[in-house]
Amino acid sequence: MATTPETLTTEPGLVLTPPDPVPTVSATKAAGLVPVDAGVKSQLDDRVAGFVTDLVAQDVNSPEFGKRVDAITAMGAKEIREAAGQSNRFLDRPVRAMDQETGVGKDLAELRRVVEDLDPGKKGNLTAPQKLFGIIPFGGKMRNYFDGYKSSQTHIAQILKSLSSGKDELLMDNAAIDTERANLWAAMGRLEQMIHLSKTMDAKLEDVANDLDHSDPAKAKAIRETALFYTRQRTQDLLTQMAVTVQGYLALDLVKKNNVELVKGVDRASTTTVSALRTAVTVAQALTNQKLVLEQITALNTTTANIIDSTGKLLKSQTAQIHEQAASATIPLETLQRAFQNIYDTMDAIDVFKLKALDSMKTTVGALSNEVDKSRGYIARAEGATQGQNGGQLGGPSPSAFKLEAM
Amino acid sequence: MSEVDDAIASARASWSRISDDRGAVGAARLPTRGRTRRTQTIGKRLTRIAIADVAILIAAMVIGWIVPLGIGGFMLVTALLVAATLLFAVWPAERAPTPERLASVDIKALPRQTERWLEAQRPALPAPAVTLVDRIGVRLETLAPQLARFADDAPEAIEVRKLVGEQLPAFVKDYERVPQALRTTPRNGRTPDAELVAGLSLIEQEIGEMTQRLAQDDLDTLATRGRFLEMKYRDET
Repeated sequence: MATTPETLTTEPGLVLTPPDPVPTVSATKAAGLVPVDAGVKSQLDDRVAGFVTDLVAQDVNSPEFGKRVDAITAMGAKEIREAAGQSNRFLDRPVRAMDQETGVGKDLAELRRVVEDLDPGKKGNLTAPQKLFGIIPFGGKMRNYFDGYKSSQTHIAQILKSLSSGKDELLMDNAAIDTERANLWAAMGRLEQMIHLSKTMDAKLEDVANDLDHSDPAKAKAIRETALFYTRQRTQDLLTQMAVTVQGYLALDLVKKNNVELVKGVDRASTTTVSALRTAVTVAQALTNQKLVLEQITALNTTTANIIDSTGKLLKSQTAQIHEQAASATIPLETLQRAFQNIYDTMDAIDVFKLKALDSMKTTVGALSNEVDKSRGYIARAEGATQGQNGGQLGGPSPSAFKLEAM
Repeated sequence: MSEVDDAIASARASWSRISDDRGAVGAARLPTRGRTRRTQTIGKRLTRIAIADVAILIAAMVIGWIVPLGIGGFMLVTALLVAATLLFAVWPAERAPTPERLASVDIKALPRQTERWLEAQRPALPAPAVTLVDRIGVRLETLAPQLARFADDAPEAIEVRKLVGEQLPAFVKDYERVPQALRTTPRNGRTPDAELVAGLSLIEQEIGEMTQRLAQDDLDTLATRGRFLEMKYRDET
């Protein structure tokens, strides 16, 4: 005998690692995570310089001065609104991935139930002869046991199919997350530009006000009280939104990692199940000389092997070994028992993973909801500013006159 | 700006408007758009005429099988053909919708109706505004199919209606109420003509942004599915 049952059924243990919860990102640390191109930076600097020179040239009490200050209050409002819309969307996402009642969770629970019904360990002594009224020998327990496979094969095939489409859903979710992350990255880039712009504006206005302190103290005071004040307010708003967006960006990654792990688990659950059924077929042949025909499962063999390529290879190499072992009549039932143990191990690993993942997901969602709530106040203010701006702009100055927007 | 400048500017504006009406300059502006729609309506009319005429001929043939029509019948059929052709050539008359109707029209039809209304306002607008009106028309044409899947009371639809169905007509109407002579006179540093142009260009931009916003979901779905295909089929082979 070339192989022992151990080499056959001992698969590398399935380890599913739940990612750590995403920490809270503070507003002060939020800026600078997304790099801004040097060329864009200098363009923004030019824009600020032009704007400030223009502002200083106006009479403090003129409507033109007021219009430019309005432009500062609306600065970055568009970028904030955009980023807020995107970072709020993922909050409903994590719940779906971890839902026990539908999708993958439900399929796995059902699979466990079916598998438990077929478990040879729960059937008592299968090799003992069955007797009618305890006296007359009648049929074989073993034969009845393997008949159980025939009746449940359709069900198992269904569950496995459903698991594979559940896996597709998880992959689709991850694809959607990739798209959302790409969008968020772009939004963060624009926010970063606006942060750079408003910080430069802050410094420039400060300089100008200091210069004017001697020549025109009234104007210096006006600039400090209006333009500079609003600039600082906007910088704060932008930083707050940036922190929330960065956190959302990281949280999306967490959801994605969870899904990847779950996909691994689903893959393994499918393979171990199919593997156990194959073993059952061979063992039945060896023990009862019964040709156990599981059409549904044979069909599945090929599809599952195709779907899960890496583990499919494992399956293929195992088939030969199973045959050899069963034929050599070592202890076939033990082989089958071990195959079932593999399924249980996989499912337990998934359950443990889910519990831990749910925990870190909850922490992340909690922290995030907190931050989003905090930033809502700022967004509302930004919204109000843009609306005022839009109302005035129809009849007001042409919008391109002093544009404070990201590139 | 001196009075001479004003006079020159207004002369230029009216000249371009006149030449615009003759189609010389107008053809160079946006050559296809207006014409496409005109071709479309003509095509629609021709189809209607063809359907009516064929129906009359088939009816005549069927009747002719049963009862011989004779020369009188032939004359009658000919008269009917001419009448039907003429009728469908002029009916239904195309009339631009009123702003009041724009406010209540179905959201799916709104962009086209607004476009037709704007088209009707063209003669009253200064030359630079006419170019903008054309551009708004193009934007509206892009917007129209996008709105097809929105219900009348969807937030997106309400937003579009506010801009395209209410603000835009109101703004142009406001301008039209300003007496002709005052339209080129600067007030608070700007002429009403300039205000109209600035406002229209803002509206044009905003409609473009709406198109972008409405397309956002479709763009996302496309990217997502592409990514999914990559994950599922490329990563594993």
